[in-house]
Amino acid sequence: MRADDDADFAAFVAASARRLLRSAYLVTGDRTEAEDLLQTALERAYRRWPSIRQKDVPEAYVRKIIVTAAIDTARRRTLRRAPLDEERIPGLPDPAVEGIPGRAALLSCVRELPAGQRAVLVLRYFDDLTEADTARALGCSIGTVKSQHARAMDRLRDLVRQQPDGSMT
Amino acid sequence: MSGNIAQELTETFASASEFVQPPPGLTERVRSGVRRRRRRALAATAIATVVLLGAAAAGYAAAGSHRAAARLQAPTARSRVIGTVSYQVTQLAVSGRYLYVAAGQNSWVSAYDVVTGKLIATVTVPGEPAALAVGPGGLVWVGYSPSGSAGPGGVWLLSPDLRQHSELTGLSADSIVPVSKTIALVPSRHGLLRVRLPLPGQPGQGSQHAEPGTSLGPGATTAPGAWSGMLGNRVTVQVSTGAGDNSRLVVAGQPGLTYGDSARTHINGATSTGSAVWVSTFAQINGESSLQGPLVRLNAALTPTTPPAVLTSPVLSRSEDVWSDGRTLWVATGVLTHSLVCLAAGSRTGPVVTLPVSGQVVALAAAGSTVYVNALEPPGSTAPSKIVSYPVPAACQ
Repeated sequence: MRADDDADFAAFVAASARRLLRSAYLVTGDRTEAEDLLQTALERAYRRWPSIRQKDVPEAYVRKIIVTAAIDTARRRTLRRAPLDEERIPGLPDPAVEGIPGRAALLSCVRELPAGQRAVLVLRYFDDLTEADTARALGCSIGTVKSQHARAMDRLRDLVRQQPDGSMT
Repeated sequence: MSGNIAQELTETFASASEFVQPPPGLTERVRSGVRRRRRRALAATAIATVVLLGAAAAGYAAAGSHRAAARLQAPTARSRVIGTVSYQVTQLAVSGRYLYVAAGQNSWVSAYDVVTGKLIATVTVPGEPAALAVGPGGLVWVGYSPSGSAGPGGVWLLSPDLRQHSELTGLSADSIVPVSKTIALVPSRHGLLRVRLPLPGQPGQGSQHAEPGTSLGPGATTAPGAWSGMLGNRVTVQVSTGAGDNSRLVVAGQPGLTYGDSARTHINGATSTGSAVWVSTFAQINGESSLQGPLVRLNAALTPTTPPAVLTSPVLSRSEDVWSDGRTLWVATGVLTHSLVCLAAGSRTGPVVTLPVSGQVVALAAAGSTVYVNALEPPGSTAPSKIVSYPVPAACQ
C-alpha cells in the first residue's frame, strides 16, 4: 500500500472507529465481540483500501461487513447469548444515575428482539441511516427493512407493555 | 415511555454505547492482522500441517494425563476439502452421496457430491433455512423462518438431488423430525405439528395437524437452530423460555420432564443417540456467561447419567456444541487445541480423540466412516471457509 493510502486509512480509523464500534456493540451486546468484528472488518477494508477510498463510501463498506457478520453470529447463537446485558459491561452508565430510569428496561426489551430486527433499529436510530442506506447495509431490499422495522417496533411495544408498572416511566 | 419509542431508542442507544471506545493502537493492530494473514497465506500446506501437529501435541500435553483427556488424532492425508464457501454455513446434513449445506443469510441449500466434491445443485428457499434434516428415502426437509420479504415460514421437501420439491407454508419450522418419506414432526408453541407433504415433484397439497398429546408446556417457544430429536420413542425439543438465552429440553407430551433453564445449566447444543440425549451446557453467573461448560448425558427421563470420566475430562468440561450420528459423539470445545473431539456414544464411552480441526466448529454432519466439518478460522471470521471431510477415528466408532 502506498504511504498516502496508508495515512488515509489511519485517518479513516481515527474518525470512524468509535462510531462503528458503538454500532457493533449495540447490535451484538458484547464489547469484545464488537471489537473483534470491527478489527476483522477493518482488515478487509485495509486490504482493498485504494479502491474503497476511491468509491468514497468506506464507512458504509465497513459497517456492512460488521452488521452482516454480527447478525450471522447472533443467529448462530440465538440460544446462547444474552445481548445487551449491561450488567456484564463495566463502565456502562447507570440509568438511575443518568436520571432516565426507563432506559435499562428498554434495553432489556431490545435484547429480546431477533438480531436482524435489532440491527435495523440500531441502523435507523443510532446510525441515523435512511431506509435505503439501511437496506444497503443489510444487503436486503427496502421492503424488507420496512417490514423488519415494523415487526421490531410492534414487538418492542408489546414488550414495553409487559414491563412491570413504573419500570418504563 | 409510552409516548415516543423511536425517540427513546435514539437516546437509549446513545447513552448505552457512550462508554464504548476503540482499543488503543487499533490501526496498527489492523495492519499487523493483515500482515499476519498474508504470511499465513504464503505458508506451504506442509508447513501448516507441521505447525498444527505441534500445536495440538502441545495442547495434549497441557491437558494432562487424565484418563479421559483427549488423544491427538494426527492430521492425515485422508482429510479432504469438499468445498470452499464464501457464505456463512448454518447447518450440514449428509446422506448417501450427497452433502447438504444450508446458508442462512442467503436462503440457500446446496448439495455436493461427497465423492467428487462437485457442487450438484443449489436451491433458494423462500426464507432463511432454520432446519435441515434428511429423512427416509434420502429426502431432504428444509424448514424456513418467517420474514418480511418471504412472508410466513414453511417447509420444503426436496428430492435428494434438490431438483424437485413440494412445500407447505404458514408455519414456522425451527426444527424438523422426519418420521417417514412424507411426514415430519415440527415443534410449535402448542406442541408438535404433524406435517404431511406430497413426494417432491408429485401433485397434491401439504397439510399440518396438531399431534395430540404432545404439549411442550406453557410458555414454550422454539427458535431457529433449536434442536429436536427422538429420545426413545418420544420427541424431545429444545424450547426457549423467552428470557434471553434461557432454554430447556422438554419431552413432548410430558412437559413435566425437563432439563436445563437454571442459572447453572443453560443449553448450548443437544443431540440424541437414540436412548440418550447429550447436552453441551454452560452456566450464567451474575450475568457472566462463558458459553462453554460440561457435557451432560441424559436418560429417557432427562435425568443426568453422565459417566464420571466425561464429567471430569478437562476438554469435555469446556464443550460448546455437540452432534451425533447415533454411533459417535462429536463435541466442539473451547479448548483451542481441541476444537473438535469425538468419542464412542455407546453405553461405554471410549477414549476422547481430537481431530485436526482448528477454529470454531459451526456445522457438522457425519455418516458412516466420514465426518464433514465447517469451521471458522479464526473464530467468528467472515472469510471464506472450507468444508472438510475427515475419516472417523476407529476409537470413536
